Amino acid sequence: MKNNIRVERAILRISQQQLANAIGVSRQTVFAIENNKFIPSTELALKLSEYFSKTVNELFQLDDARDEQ
Amino acid sequence: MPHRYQVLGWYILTFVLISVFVLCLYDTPFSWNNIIETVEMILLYVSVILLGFSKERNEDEFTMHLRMKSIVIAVGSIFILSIIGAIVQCIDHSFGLFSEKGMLMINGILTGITSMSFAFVLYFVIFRILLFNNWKRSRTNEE
Repeated sequence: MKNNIRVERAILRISQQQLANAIGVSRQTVFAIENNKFIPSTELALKLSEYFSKTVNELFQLDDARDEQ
Repeated sequence: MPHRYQVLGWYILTFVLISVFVLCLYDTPFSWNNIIETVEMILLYVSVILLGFSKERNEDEFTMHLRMKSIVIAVGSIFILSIIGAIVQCIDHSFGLFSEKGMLMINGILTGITSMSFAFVLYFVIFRILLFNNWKRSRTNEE
């Protein structure tokens, strides 16, 4: 699973801490999501989608390598 | 448990470690030794329980993910160590590699490893390491 959180955050020019505060998690969690170390729950994905005004599918995509399997 | 119990846990753990260090320096009368050791063991377990079960300051689903990961690693490690121990015992029974004293020590270590308290301490240590590693990585890549 890959995501565009870092790109979307750069577009809005907000820090990891600001995003973390907005969605109610720690900055470490935002860092882990951006680096694909952690796949967020549906609830958190929906919060992110609401925050960036994008659909969940636009923010998160299945990895190509995984699709081929 | 709320985060404040974790602070209490750290205080108790520090007290236990300091008291163990002090008791190692000074000899206590034999009759007191068992009582002090028991009290220290109880305090150690209480502190580890408080530290292991209390929430982090920013507890979220990623912290829960790390907790789950730590439990899996801890249980896996214990099984691997138990298997290694069993192989060592088997080899010793067949070829008599170790002395009686050495085997007693290995048996003691195995008993300790397979105990619930060791599993919990291992879970706690692994959880702290994972948490620290993530904090360190996120700090160096702060944006």
